[in-house]
Amino acid sequence: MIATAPSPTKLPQLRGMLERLEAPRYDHQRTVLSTGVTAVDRLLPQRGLQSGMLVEWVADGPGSGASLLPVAALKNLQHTGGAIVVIDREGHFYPPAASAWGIDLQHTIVIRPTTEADELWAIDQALRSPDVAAVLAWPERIDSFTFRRLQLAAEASGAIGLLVRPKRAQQEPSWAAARLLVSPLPSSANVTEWEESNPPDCWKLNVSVLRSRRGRPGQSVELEVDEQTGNIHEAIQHPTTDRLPARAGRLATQLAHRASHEQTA
Amino acid sequence: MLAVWLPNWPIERLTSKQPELRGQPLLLENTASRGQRVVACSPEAREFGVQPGMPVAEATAISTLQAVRLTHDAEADRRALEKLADWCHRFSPTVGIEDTDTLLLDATNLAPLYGGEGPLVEQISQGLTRLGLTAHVALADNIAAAWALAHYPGSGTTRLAPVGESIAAVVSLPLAALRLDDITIETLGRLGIESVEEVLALPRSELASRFGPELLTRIHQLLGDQAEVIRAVAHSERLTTQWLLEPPLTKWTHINKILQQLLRRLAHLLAARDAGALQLTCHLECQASDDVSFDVRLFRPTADAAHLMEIVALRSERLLLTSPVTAVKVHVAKYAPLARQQRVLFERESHWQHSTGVAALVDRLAGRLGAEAVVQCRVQHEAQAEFAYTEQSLVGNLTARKKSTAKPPTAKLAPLDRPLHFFAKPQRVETLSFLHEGPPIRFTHGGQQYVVAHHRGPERIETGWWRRRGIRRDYYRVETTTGRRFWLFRCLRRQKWYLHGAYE
Repeated sequence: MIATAPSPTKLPQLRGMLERLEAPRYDHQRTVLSTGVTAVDRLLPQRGLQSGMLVEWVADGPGSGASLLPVAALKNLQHTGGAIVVIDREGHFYPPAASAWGIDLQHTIVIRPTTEADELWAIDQALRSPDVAAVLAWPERIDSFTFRRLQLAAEASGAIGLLVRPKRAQQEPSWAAARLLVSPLPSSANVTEWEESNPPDCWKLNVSVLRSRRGRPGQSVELEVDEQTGNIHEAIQHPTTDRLPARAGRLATQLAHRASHEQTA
Repeated sequence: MLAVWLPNWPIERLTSKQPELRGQPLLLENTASRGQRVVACSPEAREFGVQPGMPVAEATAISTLQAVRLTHDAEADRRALEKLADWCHRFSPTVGIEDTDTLLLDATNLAPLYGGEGPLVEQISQGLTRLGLTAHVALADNIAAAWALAHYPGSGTTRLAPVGESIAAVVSLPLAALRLDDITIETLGRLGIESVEEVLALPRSELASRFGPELLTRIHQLLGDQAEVIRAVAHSERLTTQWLLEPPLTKWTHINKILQQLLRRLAHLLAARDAGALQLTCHLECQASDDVSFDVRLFRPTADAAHLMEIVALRSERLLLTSPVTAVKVHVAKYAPLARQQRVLFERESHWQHSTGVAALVDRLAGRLGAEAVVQCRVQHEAQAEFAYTEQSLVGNLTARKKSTAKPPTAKLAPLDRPLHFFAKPQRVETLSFLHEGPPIRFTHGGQQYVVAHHRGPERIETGWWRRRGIRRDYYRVETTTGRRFWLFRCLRRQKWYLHGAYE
């Protein structure tokens, strides 16, 4: 039988079937917690972090702020009675910074495996434990078989897995409930080479959905991280940015030129 | 009940302490009221006809004998015997001393841990032989029978009386096997009673009046009608078990089974003391190459054999053995009283550190990854970024769970003050800046060139001149033209730029 493309009317039906097959059982019975940012909650299936869920945060290059959002989310998750487990193979986790984000280090266990195999084993073990509230890790590569095992482990115990991935992981298959891409945005339209301007009062990040169990991929939201308080909220479109449209056009091409210059392979 | 008779204890104690005396004719003498007498002599001296109890003058008269004569030190013998009794604690939790040369071990419930009564006796016998001691080991239903069988072993160095057959094994022995005093034995001998069997045949009712109460007591003890208690030697702090392998083993599955058995025994010993292990050392003696040993540390004191087996297995499966193993020893390096498990009403709200799930997870992680890989961090008030926090392993110590009493650092950091992605070793970057002490303009990292659009700083971090490797750094939080954020510093001493972290 020759396969033909399904008719447009059937697509929602097929999508629904896929969701039901992929979704864990007893979806509606599990508690859903906020990531701390309503805009990010909207991007996730179940509109928040449901217990037993794995979420991937893909870093769009170095210095992109991808770890920031899961760390901020841990602040909400740490007081549910379970432990927070951080699996730091490369030794990049910096406790003073985590503490500044509101993580209670007394409730946190930091694991430092040395090999990738040990790292994935540790993530699996931590996700399996019923007394663990959330697991934060930076796995570089996860093969499909292991990923499925991690998803099942989280589902069984109710632990939430927050996995920060490198950019090239976009090509890899995923068993997470959602895969979000975090990209940095330049703070202002002023991008001449060297200008003694005041530093901005917030850091702009763009979060877009690459893959999600529910909801459409392609959804994105722009966030602002306040410099003083660390408060993260959705960027409000300022009407003042439309003040100089001509200059904006020229600057936009300059931006694009520079961005492609710095684009990681 | 197990009895261990060391027939030549005074001599063997000396030869194990001073190996140069081994193989020589040795006399131990003491000064009694009737002149100097030989208390003990080595087998080499015996060949010349010397006997214990013989006057020293007679012994020295043997012209062909070139004996070393030393004073007998009964106190030292006793102390050393106590140490040996303590050594025997690796086999049984209760060990006592009888006379000057016999040890008694409580063997109840021990046999299953050794795979049978035979292996138990074998292991003890081998262990003592390895220490360089001659010992006669006997196992019987009660102390009296065990003592008798140990002192009259017949052929071989070990004797095992199967359950219920102790009396039958003992009946043919002479009267001295009943631990009677000389006068009683002489009196009975004049009556024609020479063996235990004949004594047992006598009517019991008259024995007490004719021979004193002791004979009746001994008979009852032998028959099991009267209980006899071991006066136990106090435990020293060591908790050790061992298994000597004759012949040496090479297969890992077999060695693993032995490790499991040893852990079961340790759990038994720990439970008897109401204590749990916090740190174990497993030691494998190899025939040809160096000994292999590894440590296992635990989150909470535990006496659960199954849990110990699981954690040890995680560590032992990564060992590489290059030659056959001749002995396996497991020693409890640290232990603590077992925590009383309190029932918590609302388990969800209880602190996770009291939960068994997390304890098991931590033990498993530390078991496979090592104790230093499972830590808890604490922030400390310290200017230099690398030292602004401390780590402490969660396993192997009880202090890990004390509530932090340190004052929080006075300078509260804003979330973006420090990067989440930190390089413990700052990375050198090529940077261009306009002014000599000014902020960076461009820098290269990971093969990419970045142009700085905004910066925050400099934040001057200096450590005092009294630090041996003090630092003087100006830190900048930079945002590039594409919005990426990094944490750079200029080392003021060397005038070089480094990347210390990235905001990702």
